[in-house]
Amino acid sequence: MRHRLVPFRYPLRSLMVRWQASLLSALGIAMSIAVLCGVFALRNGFEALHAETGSDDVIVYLRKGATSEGESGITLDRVNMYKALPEVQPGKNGQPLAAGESYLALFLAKADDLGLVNVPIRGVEAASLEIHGDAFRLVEGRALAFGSDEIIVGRPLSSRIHSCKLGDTLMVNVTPFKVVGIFESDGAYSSEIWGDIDRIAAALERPMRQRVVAKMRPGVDIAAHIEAMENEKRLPSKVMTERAYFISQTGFLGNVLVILGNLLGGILGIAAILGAANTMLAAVGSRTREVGVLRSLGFGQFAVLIAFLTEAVLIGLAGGLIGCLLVLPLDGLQTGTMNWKTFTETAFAFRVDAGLLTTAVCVSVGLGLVAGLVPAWRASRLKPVEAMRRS
Amino acid sequence: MNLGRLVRRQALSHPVRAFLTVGAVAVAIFLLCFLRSIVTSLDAAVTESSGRRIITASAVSLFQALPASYNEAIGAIDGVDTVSRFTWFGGVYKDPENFFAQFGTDPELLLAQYPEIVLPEEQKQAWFEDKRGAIVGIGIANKFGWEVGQTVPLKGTIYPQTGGKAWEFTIRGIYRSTRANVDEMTLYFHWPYLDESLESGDAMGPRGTSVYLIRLEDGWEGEPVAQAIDEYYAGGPQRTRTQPEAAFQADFVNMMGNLPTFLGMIGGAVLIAIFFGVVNTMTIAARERYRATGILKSLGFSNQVPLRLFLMESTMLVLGGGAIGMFLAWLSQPAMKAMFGAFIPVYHVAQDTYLAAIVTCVAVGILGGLIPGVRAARLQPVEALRRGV
Repeated sequence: MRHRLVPFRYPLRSLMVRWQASLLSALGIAMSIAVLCGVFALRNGFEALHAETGSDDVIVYLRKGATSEGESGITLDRVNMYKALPEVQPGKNGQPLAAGESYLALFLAKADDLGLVNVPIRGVEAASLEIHGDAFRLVEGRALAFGSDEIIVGRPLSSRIHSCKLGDTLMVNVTPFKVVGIFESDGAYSSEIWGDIDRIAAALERPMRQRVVAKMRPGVDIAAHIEAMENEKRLPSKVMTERAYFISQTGFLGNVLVILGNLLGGILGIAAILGAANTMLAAVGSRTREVGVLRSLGFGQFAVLIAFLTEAVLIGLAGGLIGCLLVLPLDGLQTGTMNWKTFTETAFAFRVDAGLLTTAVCVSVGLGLVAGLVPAWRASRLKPVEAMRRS
Repeated sequence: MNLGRLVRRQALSHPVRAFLTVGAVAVAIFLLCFLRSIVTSLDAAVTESSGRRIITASAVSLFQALPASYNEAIGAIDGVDTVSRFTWFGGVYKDPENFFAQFGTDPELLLAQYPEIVLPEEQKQAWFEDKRGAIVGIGIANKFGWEVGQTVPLKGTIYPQTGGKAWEFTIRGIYRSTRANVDEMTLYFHWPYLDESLESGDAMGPRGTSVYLIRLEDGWEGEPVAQAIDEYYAGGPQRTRTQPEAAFQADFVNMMGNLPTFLGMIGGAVLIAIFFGVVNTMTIAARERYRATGILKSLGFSNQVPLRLFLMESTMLVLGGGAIGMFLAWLSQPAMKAMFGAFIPVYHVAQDTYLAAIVTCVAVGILGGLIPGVRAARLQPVEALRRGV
């Protein structure tokens, strides 16, 4: 009898009997878990948007010192030097699969109110469409006609931003551009407007390009090429793969969200532990006699400790599951937030995945465990005879 | 008869549990103050702005520089007292994580246009005289441990030096700000130094000015002057948008999009969580006090007395926790400034945030005590005595 544990039914039923208190503590834990999950689902979505689109065989060249396109500037003769690199793969028409691209975040009005947002407009060449081919799908209207004042717009933008629907006319500085197509992309390109680079350069009076993208020939040692170009004095460049470039654009927001998420989650977690510990203490207090009975039946201190800890863990588990249920509807929800790195509005969806939910449940069980430690220890220390007599 | 003593005794009858409740509420109220302060601190820059200053920027893009030639033309428009140039520098101090704002500007004009920027007279003069000198806010000076006379290397991102080296600015002064519209997290240096470096080819990057800051002549309102400027450039080469300082700041807050909504949602979750916690504590307390309630009633106290007892006890616990939470919020201001300074340069817990916290506490306290209190009020004395634990 000494080494027998209290049957699992006991903590489970105890919780059921005191279901109101149990539920309230579980809800306290659920709330903190929901907030933690929400913030991390936001970060997940934002990072996934950037991490899953870039290719590893497309190279991005920026001007040396620049950390993003917005800071970069490359003159036209240099663009041609990049295009002439022997590592660049030739396209169908024999021209190199390399393109200069311009990038500027425009002030545009939101569709719903008077607020302004920064929306990137990207000047592209015909080769750009082939290079980004995998990440780019035209879903409405027609393709861009190069040489005319036309633009195509990422789908999330077309409903959020004024004058961005198919057939609309968007003013770029003092030049009207016609929206002829809507495109989709799995990545950050979907928050951009694309047009002919020469037309956009003329409208904005910005002859410089912000970056060059190039597809590498199969078999080219990408890492060696990046290293060689970084040390190339003739063409001072910042060189990385497209994938690495996208990831580098999330760092800042990602970090802030992690700090904020950890801070909020941590603080709320403490509050939840305090609340759950409170319930468990009260539970122990009002069940002194029960503990006495258990002990007299021959259950040891350890068995009582485990029984009460199990109760606390069950509360944590319930809280974790409720918290997960609360954040599940967020999955896939479209939202937009400012990317602090580029200072532009980026559209993306919350992402709640299995990893996040698993972590959430583990954390909430942990919260329950910590909350139950002191009360369970107290219960296990009660002297059987005294406990029976006391209440 | 004084019930206060009874309330006090009952609230502290389980000191550990009282402590846990107070602790949980303290943490939650601290969080609410923190979340609200993010929003109010961002807004403070807007509401504290001066009506005597208007800002001309490109109407096309935040990142599009205006030609340097606009300086004289704007200066000639009626109602314009002085015009100063501001160029966003975007340099990196050691690591991109050390983000803070840097502007190239006209030193004498800056200090004349912004009486909010305060620094000793000899530091002003030293800055005016040193072409490569800079002044920095006390906030970043403290953060990086900078002192007057020290040289700070900034790696150019928009404006890299041709040789690949970092720019070097000597700190000639450390300023404080008297109002929330000017932060203490910025470095200002000589605009002509930047322009001359671009001219000579020592550095690369777009010429021009990010924005022009205009101080109005006395007797002039901002709107007609702003209109005159924007009409002047309506046909290009770069369209301009001129607006009061407050509206310019408000645009930045708006660009953060739904941040306030997110924070509001989190705040709501926190509020619900503390509410559950308080209801829980009070329900437990009520269950333990069936007998006490029965005794009170048998002694002839009305139904209202047990209700009032519970309301007082829960309000007392919540207010106690709230007071600690507010104290923590007040205490943590410098730490928050250090952590989020790049985003919220003027983090400050406003007075009405404390007020809102007190109102929240009272509301949560009353609501939390109401459910168990009403139940206790309805108890039949005999039954309560019999059932008592």
